[in-house]
Amino acid sequence: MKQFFSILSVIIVGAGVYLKFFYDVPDAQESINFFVSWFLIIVGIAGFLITIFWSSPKHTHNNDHA
Amino acid sequence: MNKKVITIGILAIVALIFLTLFTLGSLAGKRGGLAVNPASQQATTEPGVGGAAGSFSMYHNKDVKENFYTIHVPSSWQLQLSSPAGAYRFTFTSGEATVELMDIPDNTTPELLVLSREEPRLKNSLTNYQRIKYQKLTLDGKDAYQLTYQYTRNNKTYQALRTYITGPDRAGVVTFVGEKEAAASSQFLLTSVLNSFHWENP
Repeated sequence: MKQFFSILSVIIVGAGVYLKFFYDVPDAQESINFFVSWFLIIVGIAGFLITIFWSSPKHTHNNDHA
Repeated sequence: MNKKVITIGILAIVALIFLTLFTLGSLAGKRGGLAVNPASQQATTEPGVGGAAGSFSMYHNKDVKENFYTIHVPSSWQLQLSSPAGAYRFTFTSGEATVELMDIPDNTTPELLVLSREEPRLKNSLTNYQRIKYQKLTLDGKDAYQLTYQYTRNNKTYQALRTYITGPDRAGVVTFVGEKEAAASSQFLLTSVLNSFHWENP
């Protein structure tokens, strides 16, 4: 499950980077391209970091039974 | 849920809020991020260009990054100051001329765009549109596509010479419009103006 979200996040960041730097934006759509590309980059990076740092609660309370 | 995850989530939400406010605020008013550079409106006077008599004014357009260009026009032509970014509109005794930039999408070629989108658009917007000639040229070392046509406005027949010059990102479009009788007499002058078009960053 964790791997699935990591890959999904990387795909989202990749889509944002593509729209930002490689997509030929028509003149009238530059502001919407700016918003969508940065939105995808932010959501993708945040999603990737959350997936990495996400940890199951049961591993954090081992000392409670001592 | 640990603190790092909560912090990242909050930071992402804050970043998205800032992005939304920034996009709706400052960017929304810029109309595609293009603005007229005051330096583009300044002309430099020079002697005849391409063998044409009389003095010429050189306009150096710096409005659109990657598409800086220069063009020489007769000093007698009047520049209309309401021109949008990257464009000039001149009026003179026998007609008017425009120089503008046109976006060429990646999924097409300039020639295909001229024949499949531009000419149908002209046909739909002008009364009695009639193509006189279409030819491929080389201007400033680049491919150019020239459409000569005539149309009717206020019971007068006008002739137009519209040339699309392939550029680094956008294409340069130079258009001359005048009454049909005047077009033949000013042919040499218009050719001189067209040949003076030069991309600064090829």
